[in-house]
Parts: sequence; structure tokens; C-alpha cells
Amino acid sequence: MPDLLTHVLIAYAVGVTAVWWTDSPDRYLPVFLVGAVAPDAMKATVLLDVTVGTAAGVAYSFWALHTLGGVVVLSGIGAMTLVPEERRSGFGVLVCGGVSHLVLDLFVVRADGVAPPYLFPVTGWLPPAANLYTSTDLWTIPAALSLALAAWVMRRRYAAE
Amino acid sequence: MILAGLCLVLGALIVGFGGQFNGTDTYPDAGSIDADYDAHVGETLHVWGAVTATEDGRVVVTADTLSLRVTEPEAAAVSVGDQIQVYGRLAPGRRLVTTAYDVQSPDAIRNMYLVSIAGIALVGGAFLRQWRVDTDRWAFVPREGE
Repeated sequence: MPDLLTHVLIAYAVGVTAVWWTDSPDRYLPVFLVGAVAPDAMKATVLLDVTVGTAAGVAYSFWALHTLGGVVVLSGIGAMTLVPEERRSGFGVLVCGGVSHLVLDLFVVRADGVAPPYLFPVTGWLPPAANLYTSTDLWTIPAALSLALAAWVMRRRYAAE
Repeated sequence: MILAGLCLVLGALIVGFGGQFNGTDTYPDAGSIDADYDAHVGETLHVWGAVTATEDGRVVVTADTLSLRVTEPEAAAVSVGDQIQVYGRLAPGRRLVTTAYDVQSPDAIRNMYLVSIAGIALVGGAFLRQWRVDTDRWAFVPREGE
């Protein structure tokens, strides 16, 4: 992953464009941002050093949260926290945000040149890694910030029309 | 009811992923390689670990119980405590012939977490500007039109 600030700023730029393009209500923009940080919920298990292991003889891995399947289920759980009439739209927007997270993570530097199986459980295929940045490469923040600012300016102009 | 079902599916994904990938090339089990090292000599390995020492000018990378002397990076390029991912071929005598590597210092990792917290705060703030908790239904409702 790049850092979460980069994820949020890029997601903002993408989300503003998507809200404008599809003429969706503004309230879905922050929902998209929530979706864009959700896969890194598994980072809590990294901090606790329990990400991968065996419990009672059963292998488990919280990396599952950081996959397409994880995004769909986490988005379902997130959508259930909204009022019923917002759940269907909220779910779709959360999934799109989560997918934006996985796409950005395809560019993270992997010494072996392949990214994790982000399409699990659909397929265990390992996509090629673009090896563009690491999670600690802070140059991604000004790059993402300039995109977010451009989107913000576009949004203000659009709103003023 | 739906929520409980989703949590069950999430649990199934976590167990399913572990069953499919734990101990594979993508998520190697360093501890089991250490336990039967000679059987793994010649295999390629992508390991995420920490720089734990420099011996005879060589960097020692440790993941779980497995410690390997790696051909790259050079000792001068890293510090003990750095996080490192190394990809290479396992050689006799707990050595790894490096193909590629990437190093992250503890300071850089701390900064990454700090800016990530800022990112989460931004998301939380943006969300609560557009949504609020309806305490009658215990769910988020849009603030629009209020």
C-alpha cells in the first residue's frame, strides 16, 4: 500500500470526478473515501502481529480483507450501518472505493515482482506489480494532493455554475 | 441477521485465504523453512523481515525463526532494525542470493503511520459532515436538507 493519506487524496480526486460524471449526490463522496481506506482495516492485525497464523489447527490470514472478496463483505457490513434506504447505493459506492484501494496497491514495490491475489476468492491469480512506490515513499502525497486540489477546484467551479 | 451472515462470510474468507495461501510462495512460512532448511535449498523465496545483524560485512535478515545472510544489500546500506523485503534463491548455510530487495527504516514507517492517521481523520471528518447518527434507528442518515 501507499500510505492512507495518498489513498484518500487519490480517492477524493476519483470520487469527485465520479460524482460529477454520474450526477450523484455529494453525500456519496465521503462514502467512497471510507471504502477507499477499508481494506487497510487488516493493518490493525499487522500492528498486533496476528495477520497470518493457525488457530485450533485451522490456518487463517487477515490478508483476506485486502482482496476483492474482503472489499465486498466489508462494504456489506459498512452499508448495514446506513439507514435502509441508503444501503443499496452505499454498498455500491463502498465497493468502488475499496477497488480503488486495491488498484493503487498494484503499484507498490514487490521484490518478487508480483502483487498478492487481490481477486480472491474469484481467482488466486497473482497480478504483476508495477513497482512504482513503497508505503513509505512520501513523494506520493504531493503528487496525490495536486490531483485532489485539481478535483476540488473543478468541483467548486461546477457547483458555482 | 444479515450482519451476522456477513460476519460469517468474512470469517470464511479469512480461513479460506489462510488455507489457500499460507506457506505458499506468496506468503511463505519462514518458521517451517527454518525447521527443515536443507530441503528448501535452491528454492526462490520472497521474505519480509527485519535486519537483525551484520556479520562479516553481510546483512542478516530475520523473519520468524529464519535468519539468512543475504548477498545484497551491503551492510553499509542498512541499519539493524530496518524492515526489509528480499527476493532471491536459498543457498546452503542459511544464505540467500539476492535478486531484488527493498528497505524501509523504522523512522520512515513511523512517518507512514502518522500520515495514514491524518488520512483516516480526513475521511472521518468528511463523512460526518455529510452524515449523522440517527439515534432512533441507530444508523447513519444523510444531513442533506437539514
